[in-house]
Amino acid sequence: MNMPTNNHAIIVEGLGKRYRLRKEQDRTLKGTLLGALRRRSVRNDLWALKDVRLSVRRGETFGIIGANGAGKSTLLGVLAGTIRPTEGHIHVEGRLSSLLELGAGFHPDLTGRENVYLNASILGLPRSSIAEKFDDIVAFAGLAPFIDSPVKHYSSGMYVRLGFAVAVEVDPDVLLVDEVLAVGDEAFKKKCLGKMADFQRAGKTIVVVSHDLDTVKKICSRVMLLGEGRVLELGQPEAVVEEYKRLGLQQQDDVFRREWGTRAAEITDVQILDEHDAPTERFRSGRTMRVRVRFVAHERIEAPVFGFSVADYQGKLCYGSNTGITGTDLGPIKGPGAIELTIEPLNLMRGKFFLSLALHSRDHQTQYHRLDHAYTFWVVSDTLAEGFVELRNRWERLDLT
Amino acid sequence: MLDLATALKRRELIVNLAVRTLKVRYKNSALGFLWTLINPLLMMLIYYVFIGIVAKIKVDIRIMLTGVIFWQFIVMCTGDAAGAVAGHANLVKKVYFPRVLMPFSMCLANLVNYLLSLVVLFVLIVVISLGSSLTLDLRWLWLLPVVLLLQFALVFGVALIVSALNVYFKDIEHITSVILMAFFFMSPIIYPVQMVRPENGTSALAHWYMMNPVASLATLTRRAFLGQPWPPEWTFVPSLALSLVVLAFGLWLFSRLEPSFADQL
Repeated sequence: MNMPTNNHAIIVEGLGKRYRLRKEQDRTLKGTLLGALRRRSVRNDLWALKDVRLSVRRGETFGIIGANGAGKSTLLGVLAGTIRPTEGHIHVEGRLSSLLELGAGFHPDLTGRENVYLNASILGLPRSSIAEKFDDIVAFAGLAPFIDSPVKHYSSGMYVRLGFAVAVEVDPDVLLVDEVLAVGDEAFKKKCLGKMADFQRAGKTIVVVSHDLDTVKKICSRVMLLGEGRVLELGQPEAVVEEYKRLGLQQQDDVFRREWGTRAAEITDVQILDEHDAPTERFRSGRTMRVRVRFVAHERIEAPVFGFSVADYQGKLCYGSNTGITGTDLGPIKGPGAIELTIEPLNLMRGKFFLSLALHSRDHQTQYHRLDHAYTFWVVSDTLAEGFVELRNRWERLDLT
Repeated sequence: MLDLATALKRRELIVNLAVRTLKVRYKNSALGFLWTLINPLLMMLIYYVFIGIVAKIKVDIRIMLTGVIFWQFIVMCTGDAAGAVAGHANLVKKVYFPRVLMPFSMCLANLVNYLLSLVVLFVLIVVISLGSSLTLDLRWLWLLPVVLLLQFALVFGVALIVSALNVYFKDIEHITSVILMAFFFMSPIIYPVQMVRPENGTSALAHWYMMNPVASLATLTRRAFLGQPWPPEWTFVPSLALSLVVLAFGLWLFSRLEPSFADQL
C-alpha cells in the first residue's frame, strides 16, 4: 500500500464491499435461529464494490458516474465512513463533509432553525460558528420567511436547499456530493454550482456522483466510470463520459420500459422538442412540449389512434390521452408519415418523467406499437409549491361572518 | 471496545440530540412534559385501586408513587431503545458520527425527564407526609446520586443492547415488552419490598430476588426518598455491580454490531 502523500486527499486501495442478501424471513429472530439450526446458509453474496482503486489529488474535483446499482453510492458511503468496507484500505486526509443526503438529520416536527443547529452539530460544526453563520445559511437557502416553521411543511426543494446550505458551511477539506443537483430547481442548481466553484477556488477536494453528465464534464477534472462495482474507466471527463454513453450503461431509465404490439404500423422515430422546435430533455414548468413522431404503416389502417401518457419516475401515471378521446380525426395511414403532439402548457411541476407513446386501433382491440415509458424528460420549476402537477390557484380574503 | 470517551467529547451533538428527543416528544402535545407525570400517576391510581381496595392490601401511597416513577424511567429508556438506531435509518446511512450517541442521547433525554419527575415526586412526598401525619424521613436523600448513576448505567446498558439488536431483528421490540413486564412484577414497583420476606413464605426466593438490579435500585430509591429499609438481602450489593456488567456488555455488543448498521437498515 502506498503511504498517503501530501498531495492526495483520498487514497483507496483494493476496496471491496460485500452485501449478504438476506431473505425477508431472516430478518426475524425466528428466521435466523431456524437458519442456524438447519445450517442452511442460503446466502446471496453481492459485491457492490470490488477491487476499487483510486486516488484523488488535493484540490481536485473528481466525478463518479455509472448506472444505477453500479456502486456509486456505496463508494461514497464508504468514503463518508457510514459503510464499512469488507476489504481494502481507505485514507481520507482532512475534514470531510458529505452531501450524501441533504437534510438527512432533519426532523419533520422541528423548525428549520432547530434543524439547522441539529444538523450542523451532527456534521461536527460547533454551535458558536453556526450561530455566526446562521443568517448566511438561511439567506443562501432563501428560506428566511419559513425558518421558524416545522420542516414538514417544506417542499422537497426547500428541504434540500436548507440541507445544502448547512452542509457547505461545515467548511470541509473534502466534500462528497451525491446527486444533489438533481433535486433543486434551476436557480438553486446555479447557486450550488457557484458554491462548488468557490470550493474549487479554495483548493478543496470534491467528489461528486451524478447522472447529469453535462455537469460532470463541466466541473470535474477526472471522472471514474463504475460498472457492477468495478472501475471500468478512469480518466479525462470527456473520454469517460463518451465511454459511458458508448457502453449504453444508462439503463436506469429502462426499468419500466416496455415495447410491444403487432407492428402492423410502427413508430420509427420520436423527437422531444421545446417551443422553438429544439430537441431537449429539460422543460420549464408551464412551457410548451412538442413530441414529433414518425411512423410507418405497413398496411392501410383506416382509423388509427395515437396516444400518449406521462408517468412520474416511479412509473405512476400522471396523465394519459389519445386522439380517440380528444376526437381528433387523423384520417387513414399507409406507408411513412409523421405526427406532432403539443402539450401546452406543460403543467408538470418538477422531477423526471416518463413519456409513453401508443399507436392502436380505434376500438383498442389491436395494439400496433406501444412504447411504454420509453422516453424521459425533466421538468424544473422555480416555485416553492410541492407536488408534480401545477394547479393554477389563488387565494382571497372573504369578509364572511 | 467502544471508544466511548471520544464519542462523549462531542458534547454539543449529545445535547442537541437529547434536546431533539425531548422537543419532538412534546412538540404537538398541549400538556407536554406533564404527560411523563400524568402517566405514572394514572398507573399508580389503577394499582392503588386494585391493590388497596379490591385486594385489600394496605400500601403507603408514597411508596407506590416512588416505585411507579422510578419504573417509568426504565420503561421509557428500554421502550425508546428499539427505535434509537433503527428509527433513524436515514441518519445512520448518510452521515457518520459515533452511533453510540444515539442511544446515549436518548437515555439522557429520559434522564432529564426523570429528574424533573423526581422533583415533583419530592414535593408530593412532602405534601402527602405533612398532610397525613406520616413520618417524613429524608436522612437518606444523599443516596440518590449514587442510585441514579447506577440506574443510568443499567438502562443505558440495556438500551445499547436493545437498540443494536433491533437493527438486526425486528422482534426484539416485542420481546423487550414481555421482559419488562416480568421485571415489573419481579421488582418492588407497586408493592413494598417488605412483602418479599421470609414470613411471607418467600424466603427461598428472597435471596435471589435482590440479585435483580432493578429490585435493588427501586428499594434504594425508596430509602433515599422515604427512609425505607435497606434491601433485605446482602445480594443487593453484587446486583448493583451487575448494572455495570450490563453496561459493559452493552458497550461491547454495540461496538461489535455498529459497523454493519448501515448495511442492515
